[in-house]
Amino acid sequence: MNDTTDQTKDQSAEKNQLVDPALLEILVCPVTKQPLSYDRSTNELVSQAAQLAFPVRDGIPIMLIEEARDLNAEPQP
Amino acid sequence: MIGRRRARALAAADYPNFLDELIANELASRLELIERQFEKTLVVGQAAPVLLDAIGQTAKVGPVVSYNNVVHDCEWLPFKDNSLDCVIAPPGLELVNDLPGALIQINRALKPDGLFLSAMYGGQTLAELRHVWLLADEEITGGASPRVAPFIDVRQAGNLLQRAGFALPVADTDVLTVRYDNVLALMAEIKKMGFANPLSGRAKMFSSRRIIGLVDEYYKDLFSDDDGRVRASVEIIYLTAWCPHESQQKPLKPGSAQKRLADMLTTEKD
Repeated sequence: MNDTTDQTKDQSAEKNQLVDPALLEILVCPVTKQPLSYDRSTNELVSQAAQLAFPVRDGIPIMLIEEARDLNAEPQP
Repeated sequence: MIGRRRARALAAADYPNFLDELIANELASRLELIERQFEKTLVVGQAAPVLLDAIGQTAKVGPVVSYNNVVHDCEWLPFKDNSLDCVIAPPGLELVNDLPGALIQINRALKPDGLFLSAMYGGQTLAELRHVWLLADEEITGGASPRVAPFIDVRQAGNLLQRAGFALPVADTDVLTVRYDNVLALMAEIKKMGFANPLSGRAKMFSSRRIIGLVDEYYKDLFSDDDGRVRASVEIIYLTAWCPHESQQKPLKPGSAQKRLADMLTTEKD
């Protein structure tokens, strides 16, 4: 829990917060329960199996299907 | 639906948290009684801050994963199989669309011999309010409308845990009586807690002044105390269950007895 508060404080210093590695270890794709890979450039957790990318905001992974980006969808103009 | 409403309610300044406090203390004290240390603990769903504080202070758990550090949906848990030592579910889990499915996912995410500890609102909760709405609806529209969402029954809760694959399930209940000035104050508080009627089959129009008046009147007639304040029941079901592990006690297989019961019952005469 302390990690989260520390990360929020450092928010101005670094824009793309990293997810706590201990958390990454236990997270899987909520749809397929397959492993996720972290994409540093977009700051997303990518599930290849479900073709979904879950956003990370302020170091907090948003593991909601309705918030995820569909990898097969056309890029937004 | 409940999830979004709860999030808004929890953030509001006038959120009534007396039940959360009570449940938080009870869950924390139950956790204290267990002679185990739980490394990876998840508080599933949107928990009240008092609950997270109470759990964190028990010294039984390591860093807690919650909605605050991983935003998740109880029906689509993003946690690896066999990755958690303890899952704590505050009230709200019983209101998801697919409770058996959510429990199965929790069971899978737990390590063998991992603990599931939960508090849910039980079937007697707001029984008075449900009764009164039924009377009023019948009188005005001639039929019933789902006004109070069904809550889970304590026996069903135990069965559900077993169906989801948990071992050694224990369920017990606590019924409280909460008193209000009148039924309107009660309904306002339910709304503030983010638990207003979530059923899709509910009446899709505002309740008329007449029906509200009737509800108020019936509630006063049937469930008021001498001082004019009205009573409402809140049933809290506490559930404890474990992810199966070979170290846990199990019944012996049929036919594995070493001695015949008849031998034990007949007294030796010779």
